[in-house]
Amino acid sequence: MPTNPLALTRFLANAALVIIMLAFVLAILLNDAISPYWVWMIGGVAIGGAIAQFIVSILAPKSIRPAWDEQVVASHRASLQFGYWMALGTFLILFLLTQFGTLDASIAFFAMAPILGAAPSVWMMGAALAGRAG
Amino acid sequence: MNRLIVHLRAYRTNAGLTQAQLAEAVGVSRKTINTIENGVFTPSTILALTLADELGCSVHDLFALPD
Repeated sequence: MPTNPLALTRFLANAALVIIMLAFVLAILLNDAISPYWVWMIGGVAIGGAIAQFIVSILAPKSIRPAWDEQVVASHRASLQFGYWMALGTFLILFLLTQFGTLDASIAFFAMAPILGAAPSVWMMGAALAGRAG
Repeated sequence: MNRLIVHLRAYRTNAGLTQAQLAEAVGVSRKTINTIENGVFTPSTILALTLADELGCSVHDLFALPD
């Protein structure tokens, strides 16, 4: 768990996004229809996390440099690479579910973006817990 | 790829610095110092030079390639 205020805020923001995304995926699996309110909840958590990090950056400016040192930047770059591969994998899984499963194509399309948006957060959470992200 | 041999911990303790103090002096997180010391993370040239400068030694004292 990070001790740097900004790194801790980033960790919590990523964790919140990952948790709501897991709930979202669960809702997709359990329901045929997805409420559009998910967009507001996921977007709210993501933007709220960004605002929280911005506020902490202003309140504790000394925490910015160590929270974004070169190891964190490397982890962040790796998280985006992870997101790329997740994009390919998720597309294939959702495609197969729409073709051979019960998933509706419109729901798959709707689910694609938020799932991919959370992929880098999953990586950054792991990096933080491994001591490689602040 | 050759694994880097790291002597940072020895030079840091000789200088009487904790990981947190060295991290603050060079502008990185304590965990970054920890991962460098454990050979998990390889620092950039700039950070390696900064660490050497802070500890009053050369980069070759801190890091070496295996024989």
